[in-house]
Amino acid sequence: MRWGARIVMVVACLAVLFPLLWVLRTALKSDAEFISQPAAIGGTFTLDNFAAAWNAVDLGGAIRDSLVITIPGAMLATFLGVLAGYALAKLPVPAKRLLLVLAVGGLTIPIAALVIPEFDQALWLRDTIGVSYVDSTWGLSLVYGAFFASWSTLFFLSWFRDLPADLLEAAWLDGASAAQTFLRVALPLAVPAIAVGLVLNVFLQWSEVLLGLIMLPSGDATTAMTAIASFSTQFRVGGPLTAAATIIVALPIFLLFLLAQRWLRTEIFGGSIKG
Amino acid sequence: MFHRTPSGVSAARRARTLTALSLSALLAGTVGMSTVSAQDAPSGDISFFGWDVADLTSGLGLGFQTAAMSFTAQNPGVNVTFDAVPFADFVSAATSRARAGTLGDVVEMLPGLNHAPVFAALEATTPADWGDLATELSGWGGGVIDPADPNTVAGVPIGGQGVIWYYNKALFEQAGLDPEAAPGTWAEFTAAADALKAAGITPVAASGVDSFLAWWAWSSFSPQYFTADEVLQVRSGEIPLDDPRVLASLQPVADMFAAGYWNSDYADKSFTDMESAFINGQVAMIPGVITSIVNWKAWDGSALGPEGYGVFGAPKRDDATSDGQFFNPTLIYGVNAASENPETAKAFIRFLAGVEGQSILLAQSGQFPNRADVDLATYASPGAQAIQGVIDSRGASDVIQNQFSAAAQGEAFQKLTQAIVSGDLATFLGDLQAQQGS
Amino acid sequence: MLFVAPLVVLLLIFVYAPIGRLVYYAFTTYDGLKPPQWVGLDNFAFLASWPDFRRAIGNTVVLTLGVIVWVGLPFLLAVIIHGRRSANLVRAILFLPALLPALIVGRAFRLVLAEQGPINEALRGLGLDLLAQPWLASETWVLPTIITVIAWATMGTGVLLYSAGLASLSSDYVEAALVDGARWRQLVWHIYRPALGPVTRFWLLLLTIGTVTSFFPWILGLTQGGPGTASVTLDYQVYRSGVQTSRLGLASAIALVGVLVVAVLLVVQLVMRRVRGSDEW
Repeated sequence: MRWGARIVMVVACLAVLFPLLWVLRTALKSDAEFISQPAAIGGTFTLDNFAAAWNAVDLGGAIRDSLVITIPGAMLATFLGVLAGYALAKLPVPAKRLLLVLAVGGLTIPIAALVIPEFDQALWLRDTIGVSYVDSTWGLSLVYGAFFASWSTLFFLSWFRDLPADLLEAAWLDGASAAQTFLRVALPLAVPAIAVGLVLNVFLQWSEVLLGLIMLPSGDATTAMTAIASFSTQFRVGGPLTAAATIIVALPIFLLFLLAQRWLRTEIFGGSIKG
Repeated sequence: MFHRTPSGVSAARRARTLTALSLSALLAGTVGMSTVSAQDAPSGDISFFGWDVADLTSGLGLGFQTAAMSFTAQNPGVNVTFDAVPFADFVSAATSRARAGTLGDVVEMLPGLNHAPVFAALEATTPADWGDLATELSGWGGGVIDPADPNTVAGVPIGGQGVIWYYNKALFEQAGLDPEAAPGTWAEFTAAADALKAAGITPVAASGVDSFLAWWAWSSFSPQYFTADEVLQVRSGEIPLDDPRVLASLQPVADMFAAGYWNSDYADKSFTDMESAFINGQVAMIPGVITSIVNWKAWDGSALGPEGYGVFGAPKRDDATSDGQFFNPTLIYGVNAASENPETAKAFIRFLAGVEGQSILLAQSGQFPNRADVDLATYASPGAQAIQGVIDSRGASDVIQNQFSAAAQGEAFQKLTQAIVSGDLATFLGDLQAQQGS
Repeated sequence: MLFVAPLVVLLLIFVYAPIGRLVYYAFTTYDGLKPPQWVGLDNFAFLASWPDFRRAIGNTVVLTLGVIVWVGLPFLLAVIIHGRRSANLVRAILFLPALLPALIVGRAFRLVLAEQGPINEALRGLGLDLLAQPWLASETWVLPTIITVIAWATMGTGVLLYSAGLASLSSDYVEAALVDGARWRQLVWHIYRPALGPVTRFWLLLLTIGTVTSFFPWILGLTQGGPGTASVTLDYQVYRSGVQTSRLGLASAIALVGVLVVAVLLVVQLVMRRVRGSDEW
């Protein structure tokens, strides 16, 4: 068993690392070499592709736009999720089942089907009340906040359910209101989970493709995923340039997780989900 | 409607415009200034919407960027910005922009039905509205909005597109064939392919990942069975896609597979992979759209070199009813019906369609012209001139490639290669008809 | 009530009101530019007679079966890694793919799994030519390959979750079983599996969001539905019909059928749990 386990661990790690390293290797290849020997490990190593990708499409601008959109969007989704998740887990909310179905139900409709109805509604609001969430970064943040609040709610519902009841009951007995109990006891305890929820939200919203394209119709702001998609035009697909561009766009998320890894490790993944 | 803030994407693009201005001055000097009378000098800001302009440093993006710089240098009151979207999502991005009032003033579209859902957002026009361009440009049929009224179009055709077959001369020689004698008939074509196969050389390139090569091959045979008028009838539904002529034009492509001419790893290849394989001498013949980036222009600078390849039109089938060579616009350019600056938008389109604009697109991006007076000798390679030779000898009819709706075309690209491999072309064409009609 | 109100309001405005529109569009032809036109059940009738659509439903169901791998693999790995010295390092490495958007994972594996890519070349180098496959271009292999790629991408998160669950298990519990002479297999199946049930439920929830109802970004990055229609899923077909070619009525109808499929899968799950008479996984 001992050696068997070691072999499994080594194989699993290699299987995970290899494709990542391969993308990096491809990004460092010259185009000509990629065409003639796509599977070669040796050969030239060049950083030119990164510079070319950066210059070809405004990746810097797209990354900035994506951050401007997803950070408020993640904050909103987390805010909604913490409140609703806490209430559904710990408070006597009427029609709990119905609320849960409402929270989960939206997840069964693919975003691809909802982008145009969402866009139509935004235009209709613009034309009837003169205020709209179309074509602005804050508008897209709102949409992302709502779309990703569903799973956020389930995430925090699951977290708060595992919070020992006696902690909260003590506060109740002291005569604190529901709001006071939440703010003074539950919320401080949940801070690490909130950090994790925020990070995962940024990641999920960062990865979204279609809403980012359709809900920003002037093209003044472009999300990182749209920029990557624009990168492969009708007549250009794959290759070292695309590999370099994807690495550039993936970097901010890597950095984010690095910053948040303390909470990721010790809290959510370190024992807060209990049997 | 286009209050572009000096921040964000447009600002980054503007900065790039400035750094490249010297290039524009250089080009203006070599190409010569077009004359614009003072009274109708265009002015104001316009935005150019399309997918080719995502990357302004290469491909068509470079050509448009250079053309825009020449145009603005000649018209100091004008500023041109670019708005790019992913090619695959062009239709939805264009329609949502149109409804939000943010669609660019100039809109790039593929010819024919591909981008038909966008037509409603554009100012309908006629060739006559464009003065001399009505007769100077070929391919106006690519912009027809409704087949019942072939004179009303959604935009101006710019650039020439046709499928040409390329062959590697060295590989022909290696198989004991005359490298200067390109196949003209189907019998000559199969004889050459068989000889190549016997010499251990893959005769024909195919790409199962995207089906582009099979699609282009198919398009290259269509003019042997359809006149330009009949192509419009396909589009209006008078000729359904299960018409025997559609099958007849697809049959040669299926025959090539059946005879074992395709590269054996076709299923895992995209067309760009196979163009690379052609350059590297791994496959002898490949059908190609003459505006694809890895086309004659790119090939001239490759391992292949301008003398390394020859071109021929689709070999003539025994049951062919005409000798045409499909040759339609690469792209059409419409004016947004809601544009606040339509005159400047039109002036820019006129510039692009003129000798100067098309010369720039030819020199920078290798885009073949759709007007006869562009100087190929100065701006293009021997390869381009050989293409012109094919066009001259086969007749550069305005026949448009297969006229499918966007839905049917999506279906075709998804399933064409599989249909050819399975041999069940009738079911495939029936499925296409269901999409075309839906 | 105040706690839930903001969520309910925002969901109603930004998710459920558009869903209402979508339901209406499903009974129209609509191209996004001209107003929708009522066509009754035409879209559904077209879907009923469309072989590609049945294929998409089949593909979706097959890919959904991947859940067995996506849950089972990290569970087993977590158990194996549990308590070992290098556990933290291994978990950190396995988690790396979780940082990559599905679209980018797809692009990466297009390079790795290409016909002349490193995997196939390595197999050929080892003399295992027969094993080299056009992984993403073969009708037979494409769905198992997609399931494997998704397993690659999600494995690390699953391992972290299960490891957390294992860490919180009382060791007395396990030792008692060992004293009773339980073999490793029995330990895994009779002790760890039921004890980690809550983790499995939570992990299934995360997987559902990331994959089962949104295969789209995976398919877009990996195969674009190919070869032919061999890997077109329901939500990818929604993208093709609705976004790429602007037939929004048809796309809406497909989405509604998709909801039905998800509902059926959920009911099957419930029935299975009833039949087995327990809440275990």
